[in-house]
Amino acid sequence: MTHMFEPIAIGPGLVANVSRRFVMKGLFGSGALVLGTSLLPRSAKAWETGAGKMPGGTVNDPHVFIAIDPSGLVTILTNRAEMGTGVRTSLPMVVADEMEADWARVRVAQAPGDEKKFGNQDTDGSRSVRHFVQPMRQCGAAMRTMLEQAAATRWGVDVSQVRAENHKVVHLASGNMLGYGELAKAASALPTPPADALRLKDPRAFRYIGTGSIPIVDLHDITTGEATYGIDAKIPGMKFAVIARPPVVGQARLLRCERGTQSPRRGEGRGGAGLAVAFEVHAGGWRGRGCAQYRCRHQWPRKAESRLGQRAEREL
Amino acid sequence: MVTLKVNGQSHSYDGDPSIPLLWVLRDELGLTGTKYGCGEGLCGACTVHMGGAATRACLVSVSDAAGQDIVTIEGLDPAGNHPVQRAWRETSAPQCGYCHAGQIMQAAALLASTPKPTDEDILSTMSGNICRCGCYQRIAAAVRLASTGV
Repeated sequence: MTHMFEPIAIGPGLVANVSRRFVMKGLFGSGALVLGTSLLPRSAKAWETGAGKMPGGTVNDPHVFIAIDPSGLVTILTNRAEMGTGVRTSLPMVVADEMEADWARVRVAQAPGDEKKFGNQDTDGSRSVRHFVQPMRQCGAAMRTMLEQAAATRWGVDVSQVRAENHKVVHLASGNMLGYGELAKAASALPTPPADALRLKDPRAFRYIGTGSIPIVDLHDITTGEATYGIDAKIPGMKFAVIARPPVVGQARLLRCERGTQSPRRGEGRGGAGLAVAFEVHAGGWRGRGCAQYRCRHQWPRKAESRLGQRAEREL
Repeated sequence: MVTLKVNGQSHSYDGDPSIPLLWVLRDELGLTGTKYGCGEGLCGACTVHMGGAATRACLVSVSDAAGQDIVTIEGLDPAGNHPVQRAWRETSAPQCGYCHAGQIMQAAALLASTPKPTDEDILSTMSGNICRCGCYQRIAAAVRLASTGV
């Protein structure tokens, strides 16, 4: 297979890993008067996305997102939440592609909420890929570079003599190979190379990005009921709340709430659009959100009732 | 005291007999594959099998479910390889997947009673299962695939 990595520019007007001679040769060879950067794949240029202005910005450090087990199992953290767009698969897939990982040996794990560590985690606005495809590519490329460096050091050769390819690093001259698992410890001990020194893959060399060949990572668990959603999560000491919607917006005010063995706490939503009733669940009492919901009857002010002629009292 | 038979196992429940089956499955038995959507039988997310029929677990009280054979998504196939589950994976039917346990249970009940459904059978039977991601085309394709052999 032809090596498809190409030198690329990161940052405005900066050509990384490209010697002046290479650029000049290219210019003269083509006989065209063009700027050096135009020789590079268009997609490889860095671009502004607005992600930097979001709280937490973006993070592209492989030490944060990637763990490689000595067995070769690669764990990639996803910093965004799954809401049906597939982003829990897409972003790790981008990392895996750039780092030349074999997707069959990749496991996706959910990052906890920590924007300082993982960058912005506000999964909304259909912008997770737009904002993070670049940092995730840089993250994967940095990991690949570190793996190549670790292999080159092990063999005592220059890093230009080795190439990462499908979960292993190959010494081009001898054909010797080292798996990612064997290189994991040494590679992860290396500092993260600066983004402007990275080579990103030529899009023609993508294994996964844009191929449509990777099913979502949760596909099996969704079909067996094992996938965990917010409603399924359990934390020690957690409280349960239900939201009640009034018949008329602006009229939400709790008048009465029948309770079982729980103590209701209430809070009104903005503009009276809804009403949250939180329950502390006593030991030995009802358990779970559903039970809390089942036990709550509420009454709306008469005004709300009369406006739509709905029942004032309604069991949730 | 109510005795429930869920996925072939018997469970005793000594709480309020009028509580919906859904909350006993989820909160008492820990079978969280069955999802809460609307609580009013409008969305189909909580669909389970009761006596082989697709049933909304949010509308059935525990006392009414007593003694019946109840099957949830966790018990549809021991290895999770029911033809409907395999077809679902083959067609990449779900997106977020929240409603899909209910979708799968509805489809499995349809194929048990009508092994070779027409497109109209599929659409009319599945019309009570709402999907907020809008996966309807793939859901229909998955049911069709399951009926023709995966």
